Amino acid sequence: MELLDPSLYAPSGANDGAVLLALRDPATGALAFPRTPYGIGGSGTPAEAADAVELSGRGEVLLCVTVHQPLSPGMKVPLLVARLRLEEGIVLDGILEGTEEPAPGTKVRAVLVPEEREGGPVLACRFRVAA
Amino acid sequence: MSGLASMRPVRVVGIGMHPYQFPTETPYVTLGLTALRQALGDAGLSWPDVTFAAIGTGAIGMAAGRVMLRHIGSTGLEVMQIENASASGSSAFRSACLMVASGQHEIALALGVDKFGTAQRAAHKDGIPRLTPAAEIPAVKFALMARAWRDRYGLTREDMARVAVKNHGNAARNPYAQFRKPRTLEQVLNSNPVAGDLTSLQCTPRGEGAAAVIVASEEAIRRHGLDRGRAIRVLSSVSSSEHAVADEGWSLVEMVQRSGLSALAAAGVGMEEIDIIELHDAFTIEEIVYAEALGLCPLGEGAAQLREGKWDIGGGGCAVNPSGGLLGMGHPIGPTGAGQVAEIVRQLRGEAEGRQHPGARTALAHMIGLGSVAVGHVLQRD
Repeated sequence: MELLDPSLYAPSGANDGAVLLALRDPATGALAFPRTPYGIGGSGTPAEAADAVELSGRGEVLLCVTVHQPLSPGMKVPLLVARLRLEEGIVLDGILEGTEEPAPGTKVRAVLVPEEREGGPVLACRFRVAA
Repeated sequence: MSGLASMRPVRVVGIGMHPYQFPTETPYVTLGLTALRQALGDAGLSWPDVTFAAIGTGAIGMAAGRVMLRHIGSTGLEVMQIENASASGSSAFRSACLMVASGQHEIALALGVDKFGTAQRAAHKDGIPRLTPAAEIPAVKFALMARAWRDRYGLTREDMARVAVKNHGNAARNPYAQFRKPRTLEQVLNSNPVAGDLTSLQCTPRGEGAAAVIVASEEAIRRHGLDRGRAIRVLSSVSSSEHAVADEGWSLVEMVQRSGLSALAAAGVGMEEIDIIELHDAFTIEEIVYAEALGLCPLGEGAAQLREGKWDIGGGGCAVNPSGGLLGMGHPIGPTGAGQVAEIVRQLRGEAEGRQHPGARTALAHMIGLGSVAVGHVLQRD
């Protein structure tokens, strides 16, 4: 099955796990996600001068809310949107599996889950509460 | 960023509004010219007296100003169109002020006008896929902010809902407001859930409208015999955008704080002198967070101030969003920032019938826009 956004993530090789595709500034070690063609915004380093790296996809919940209304076309609700801090220190927003809001500090990992789209099912990146 | 202290004095001499309303078939030209004619009448000026016009709009399209203004007269004036997201009207006002302050023009117009539904966001065209497009939606972004403030400062659902109660109550007394009904705490809390703890009455409505503000130099006021007693001085004008902050910080809040304090410093006034603040309350949580960031009260004490009625009209302190704010008065984008200034001028003149904040002399208009940008103005009556 194809990935919904192959520029953002890839299979980790372990079951349904995913890694996130990022850039690292070789001078400062600063990370940037997603891996854009424009480079690292914080330092202005162009993408071709940055290192392509993979992030583990493991992290913890900082904040989480339930979206109750379909606020954009095709959005299925209820939807859990969370702000996460990955092990590598980077903070990003992701969609959590399920409908129960986890408490701040809950450990999560990135997984690839089938999602129906026009043209057939694809694998989308979601975050699952870690066992 | 710059204040106006080192430049010629600038005063607001005329204000006009087309009431904010839910989307209609009314052409934007009708909305804009209604506000403009009202502002000219308020100032006692004729259209040919105005030599510069900044048109703030987010959705109308290319050359909105010329297409509209030719119907009141093609006088050869300088016209500039300004899009700065929600701060478009604020930036139009800043441009008009700077044109007069710098001596480029004697009388300048800032006019915000918008219709709902045709705006496009550049963020949707940057070619970058999102892990979570939902997190880019303002209601979700501010629901996350509300959750952070709940976790850090114990902010409750009721605390946030009180912002909506206050602002809908103010809007009910404002003839230019989109919402004209007072709401109870129960009504706000029981309205449709949107995201997190935000309910529909805690979110700004979609709409349309127009706001016009005319500014003039001292020389123009004298030459045209305008009523100086009703001319409100613009003490400062600042504009900036977000700084990067540490990952867990809120760069938006840092920007609000920095730009607000900069506007006050440039005006040479302290927050304790501010009688009125009009600020960006598209979602209830914003009013509390931004008022704290601007220094109206210590961090984490906004909810208590709201409960005690200190931000009310006539509450004994600084009235926050006496117009009804974006929640109650509405947020048609292009006009919103100019509408804040119009409300403040009405209040500082003592002409805000039915919602007058007693003794108001100095006020802060503070607006943010998607991106994010911030624009702040301090105004004062003599």
